[in-house]
Amino acid sequence: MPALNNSDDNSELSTFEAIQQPRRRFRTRVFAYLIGLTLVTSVVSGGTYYQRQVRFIEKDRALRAHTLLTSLATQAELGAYAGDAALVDLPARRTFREPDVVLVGVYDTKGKEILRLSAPELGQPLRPAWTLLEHLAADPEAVPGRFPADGYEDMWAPIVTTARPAAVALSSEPGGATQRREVVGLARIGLSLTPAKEQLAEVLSAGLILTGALVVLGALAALLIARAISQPVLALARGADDIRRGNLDVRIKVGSSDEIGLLAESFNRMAAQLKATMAELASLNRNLESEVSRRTDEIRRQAEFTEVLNAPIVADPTATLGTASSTAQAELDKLIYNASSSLRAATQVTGVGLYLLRDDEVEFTLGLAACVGVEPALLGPPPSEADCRAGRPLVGDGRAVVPVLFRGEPEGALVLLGDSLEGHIVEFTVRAAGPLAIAISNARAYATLSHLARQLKERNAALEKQRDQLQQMNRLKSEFLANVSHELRTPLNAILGYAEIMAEGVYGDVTTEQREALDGVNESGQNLLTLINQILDLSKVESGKVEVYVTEVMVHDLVHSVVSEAQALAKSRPYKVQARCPARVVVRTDAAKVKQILTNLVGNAVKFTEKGGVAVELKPTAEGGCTVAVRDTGIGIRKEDQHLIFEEFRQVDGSATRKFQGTGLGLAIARRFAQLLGGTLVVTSQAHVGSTFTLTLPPDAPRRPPQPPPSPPTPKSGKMDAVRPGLLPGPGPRRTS
Amino acid sequence: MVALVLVGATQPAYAEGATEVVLVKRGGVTAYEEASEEFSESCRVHLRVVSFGDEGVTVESARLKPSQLVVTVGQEALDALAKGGLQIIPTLAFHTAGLIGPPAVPPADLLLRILLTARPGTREVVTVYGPRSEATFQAAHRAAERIGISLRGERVSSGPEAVRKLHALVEGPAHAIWLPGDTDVVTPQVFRYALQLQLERGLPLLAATRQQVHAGALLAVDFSPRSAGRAAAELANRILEGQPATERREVELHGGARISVNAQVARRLGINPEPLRRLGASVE
Repeated sequence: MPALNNSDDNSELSTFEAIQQPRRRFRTRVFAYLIGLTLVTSVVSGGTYYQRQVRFIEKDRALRAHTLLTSLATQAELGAYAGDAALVDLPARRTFREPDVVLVGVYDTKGKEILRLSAPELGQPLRPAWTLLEHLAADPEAVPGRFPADGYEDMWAPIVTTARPAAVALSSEPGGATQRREVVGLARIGLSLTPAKEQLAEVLSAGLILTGALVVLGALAALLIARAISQPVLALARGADDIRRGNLDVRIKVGSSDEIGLLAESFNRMAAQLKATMAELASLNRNLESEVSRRTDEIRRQAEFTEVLNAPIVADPTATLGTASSTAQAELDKLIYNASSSLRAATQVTGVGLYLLRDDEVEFTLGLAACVGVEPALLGPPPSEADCRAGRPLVGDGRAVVPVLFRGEPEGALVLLGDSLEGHIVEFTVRAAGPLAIAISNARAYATLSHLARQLKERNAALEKQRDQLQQMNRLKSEFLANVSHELRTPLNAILGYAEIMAEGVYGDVTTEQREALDGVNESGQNLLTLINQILDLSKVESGKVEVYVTEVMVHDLVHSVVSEAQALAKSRPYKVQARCPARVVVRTDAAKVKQILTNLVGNAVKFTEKGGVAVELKPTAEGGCTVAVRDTGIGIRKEDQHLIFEEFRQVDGSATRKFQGTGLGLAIARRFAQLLGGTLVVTSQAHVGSTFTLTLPPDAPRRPPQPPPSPPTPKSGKMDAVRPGLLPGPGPRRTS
Repeated sequence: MVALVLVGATQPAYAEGATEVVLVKRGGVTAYEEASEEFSESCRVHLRVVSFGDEGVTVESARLKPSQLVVTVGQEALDALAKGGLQIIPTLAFHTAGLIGPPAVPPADLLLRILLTARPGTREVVTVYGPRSEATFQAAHRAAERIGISLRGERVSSGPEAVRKLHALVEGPAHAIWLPGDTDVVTPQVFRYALQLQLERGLPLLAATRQQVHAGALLAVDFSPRSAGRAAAELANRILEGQPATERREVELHGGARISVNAQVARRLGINPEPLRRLGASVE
């Protein structure tokens, strides 16, 4: 027990030795406390006793003085009444005989002395001023006056006579109610202070003696109490020190049954309990070491097993789809065999068999995947599905079946054969079954993944070949369209020129019918020219030949210009196109393309709005760009058709009898231009209410060189979605300008 | 028992035709209450009673008129109203000249004879008296000489002087003390001093009223207040009947004088009260 055999204890000062030092001795402190308490108590008691005695002596002296004075006043009543010294002589002398009376006097109500007797040592005693005595001569109920004098207290009181009126007294029975009290003189006594002082001195002496006696007795009592308390405590300290040194057999003997005795008894019980606990702790320590050794070995074996499971699966890069499956199966077989061998080595059992769920079976059927140490026939029948789903090991007759579960589902089962399948072997196998199930699942998934990867690689190769073919076709188409449009535009311009000259009468007068025919030629030619120009624009965009010329553009001027030009289109309408612009909005962009976008949007708005109004609203954005919203109250667009209007050659009404003419390219080109300028073009609309097309432009359009032609649309196949839907024709109504 | 006492003045001052009687007295005095009750029962006309206290009484405060017949009870009421020009019958008081009423004190020789009966060896009697009781002292002095007693008295003007004089008188030969019923000089303090002398020196105290005997004096000879009240009522009745004032000089006291003895004091002084009891004394 290390705690009890600490070699450092020998060099340290023991607890018992420490408390032996006089300054720390408990007994000394207890004695000091008690003697201090005794001293304070004695002084307080003595002081209180002295104070009470002083008050008692003072009160007694005052009472005696009052009694003597009252007696003198009563006895001298008639003498004072008659003003006759002879009549007061007797009571005065009687009072003067009292040992502490040094002065007796009787005076009339004017202060005139009738009789005075005084001790020789007083000489001619002084009298208080008459102003201090006057109230005594006037008030029968006055309180006696007390005046300090040299060595005595001078006290005066009124002499009061009590009588009924003479007539009443003469002719009425005694004790009648009618009485008169009046002052007939003053009585005076001088009471010496010497007896009181002597009494106080005696009291003080007695108090000091009493206090001293109390202190001595208290000291003796404190000494005895301190010893009575400290000795058992010292015994307890010695015992505790012995226990600290390792002697658990020590017991404390205290002969009392009080709290100290109870403490000693508890201490002894604690020592016995400590001894038993230490023995139990040593036993547990030994068991713990054994258990730690066993667990360490088990962890090591489990680590080895896990290392087998974590061995990398080597893929064959040259394998084809036909050979990959067999390769993966071989890797799985190798893993299973290694894992079974490692498990047998770790558990030291006779044989290990691993059954796995067959992939190609619809029903739950286990097949033997590996068998190590024994012949497969000795493993017995394969475990049932119920045994696997139970999730608990089944042990009996030298055979243990441990289910192998992956995410709660049975993957297979391990079968152990051995003479003594102890609990820790089964537990180890149960813990090993989890990682084994994961490793098997990973191996199977790896085999599947390898197969899919090879499939994907072969498909991508086919797709790349198809894409190249489509790109070549798209380039040929664009070149064709550009060439055809150019070749069409040249003769078309000639046709329009000749038609215009003819209409102007250069070749002679033109009849009304001829002029109408020429106008029809001109109009159809213009439409055709517009179509060709738009096809050319679209071809340029798709072939990446569109150039962007960025300059500072006064967008507000541009809006006003577009609106002004649109007024001609709206001259047959019952409204005018409105422009709502702030004073100045400038961005860096391509002015021609912005104007082409806005002309297209405003023209569409006028075309589809027969009544109500069209307005163009310009607003700057927080980023420094701007938005231009073109609002109309026209026919509007249904929500399900709004995604079609930006597709090439599409109009919402695509029927042959449609009301509004157009190529179906205007909005597609406008959106392409907006994207080229780094902006957007979006629409919000409600059928039969109106539409709002909003062009958003950044503060500075990106400068881009002519781009190579974008990739042509790729046929949709599998999960690859390389086709741009906007370039694919589709069914449904079409709306465009 | 004495049957008749005659006290009066030569020139009665009563007008003819008085029909209302007013009795004036200090309230709360036993003797005065008894006299008033007796007067009320014996008087034949309507009677108004005026009682006063320490505040005293005047003609105005009692709403008295000259046409009314006023009966004063006690010295205090008589002194207050005597100079008010009223028709007054004094009772239980020393009389003022010109007034007729029941006598205040019994005859002096009667007092001294009773004293001799109580203590036959008495030869020296001391007393103090005031101006109002001087006539009584002179009468007593003459009576004392007739029966062989030396009555020494000092004329005083106040209570304190009375005490001093009494103290001086007892310093000489003295066998008894006599205090007349003169409230001017015989104050309660004088009476108390006389009692003190009686106690300290064994001098019998001859007091003026039965109430003083009850207060500690050995004996007293006085008239019953009821007798005085009845006599005053008879006198008033006569005046109201229109009889001439000159015919009303004698007032009869039907009850006569009464003798009161304090038995406890008599025992302390060694006096046998039996002879006094045989004289009709009330030994209490």
